[in-house]
Amino acid sequence: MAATVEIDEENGKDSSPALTHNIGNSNMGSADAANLNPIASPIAPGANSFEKWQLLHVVDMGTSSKIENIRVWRSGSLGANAIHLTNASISDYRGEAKYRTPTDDTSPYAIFPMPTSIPGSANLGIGGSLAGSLTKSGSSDFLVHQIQTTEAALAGSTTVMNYSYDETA
Amino acid sequence: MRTKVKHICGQCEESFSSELAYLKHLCPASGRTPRNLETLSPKTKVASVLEKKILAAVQMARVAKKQYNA
Repeated sequence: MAATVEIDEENGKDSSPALTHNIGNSNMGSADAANLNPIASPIAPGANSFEKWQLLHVVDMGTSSKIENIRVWRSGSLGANAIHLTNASISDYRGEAKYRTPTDDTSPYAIFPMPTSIPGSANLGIGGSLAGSLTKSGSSDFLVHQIQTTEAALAGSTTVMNYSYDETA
Repeated sequence: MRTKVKHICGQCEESFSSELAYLKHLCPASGRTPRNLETLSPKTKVASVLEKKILAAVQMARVAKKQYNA
């Protein structure tokens, strides 16, 4: 049986965070919330979304012995005058980002463009390293990402987040 | 040391004090436990939702009785 994996999102103050397991979407907006409603919490032109702090969580290894090589990317284009940044990188990964209260200020963690096709190798670490692996239930490093816009940004784009990993039987 | 984290199921929005409690819960929205990908039959889903409603009703009745007796 294959491993059981879910995407989790952490929100709230770093002194009292809440971890939402198995999120239904990754909507970006003007609120620090999982499964947020983008109509109720839109990103104003010129503003940033709140950072997303998300994890790939292996809840059960099944009959697998190892999970590794996590790759994250976005498919679909953003609207003009918006950029999507992340801490995920195949070449300049800075190790495990320790959770802190999500902000809509310019993120010091999400600084690399989110890939728009599958990266050639891991871009999100496990245990702080792109070469890391999970041999029992556990989570990846935090994936931090943020949308940043200019005053000329227009509403209405929808894109898809993709996650890939290698699983050894 | 990691701060105590509240765990929430992203499907049914129920809160848990530990990850283990989350992993053990039968989600009324998905009809399965987080560790079990097998989708349960619609009857089981309905039964689990019904059980939750009955437990909530019992809890409300207990509170009402306590207030009445006070």
